[in-house]
Amino acid sequence: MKRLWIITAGLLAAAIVGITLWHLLPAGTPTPSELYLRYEHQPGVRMGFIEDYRFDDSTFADVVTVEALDSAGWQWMEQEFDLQQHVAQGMAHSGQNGEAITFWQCDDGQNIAFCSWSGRALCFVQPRTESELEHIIIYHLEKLKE
Amino acid sequence: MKHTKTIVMTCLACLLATACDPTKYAVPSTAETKKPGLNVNVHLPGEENEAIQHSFAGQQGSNSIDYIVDGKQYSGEITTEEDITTLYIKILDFAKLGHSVSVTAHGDNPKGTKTDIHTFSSDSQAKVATWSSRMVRKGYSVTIEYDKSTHTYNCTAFKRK
Repeated sequence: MKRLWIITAGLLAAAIVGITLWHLLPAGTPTPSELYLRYEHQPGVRMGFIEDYRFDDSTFADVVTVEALDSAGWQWMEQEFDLQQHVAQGMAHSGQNGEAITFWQCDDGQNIAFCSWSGRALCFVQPRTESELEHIIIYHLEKLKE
Repeated sequence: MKHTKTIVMTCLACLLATACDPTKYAVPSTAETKKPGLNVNVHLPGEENEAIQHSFAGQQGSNSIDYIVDGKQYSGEITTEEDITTLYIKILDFAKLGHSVSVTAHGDNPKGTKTDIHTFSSDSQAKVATWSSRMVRKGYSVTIEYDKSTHTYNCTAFKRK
């Protein structure tokens, strides 16, 4: 009988530790390559993956691109990536004086999404440092001038 | 002892069921945030600025809006989210042109959301990048537009709560 109590207490302790860890550990962040694999076969969009894309002399990062091939693909992108939520204000601005770009931090807290409305395209980058993020933004600022 | 065993097993089952409950981790909808009204204070932008404060409620339902530009009062109705966006852009444009703007909303905003908006303008890519990355890390969506006539980057950061 004593053994039963020990087993029960052990199971309870394991359950409590498991639940505590479940709460404490952050959810896994998908890498750009995992994002690519997740949507690789989605109809209506073209996925791209560039390993170690060179943003400038010191900034290299993996990039995933998602490009709408038709209106159905764009509609899917709007829903899947919640574009209205992120770009509603930006969309109203875009096209008034030139090209615009909108970006935000994904829910995973690591990936940054860049959205070009005129190109109907998205790209995801996972910067390792704040400095790297700033360099990637500067890269996009330069593109806006072109 | 049979009862004790049953009680312990029931407790274990409850514990595991709680841990596996998918609704427990559901993200709450922003539409649940209720705000009684809308207030927008617009600071006139300088050469490089971090202007325009925020606070903006309303989604669905009918709300009447009064806004004052340079002391002259205007009013309008908000019934959809597009109306809110249009009005906000109008207000921002007024402010960018150097006008004094204030806005008051009336209505109960039954499914109101709140949006914070900040703007920043500069011709320096480094300053724009620093400001933008900071806002993005704070959870804002940032839109940057390049004005070719003034060679200036106009940035808008917004976040719905």
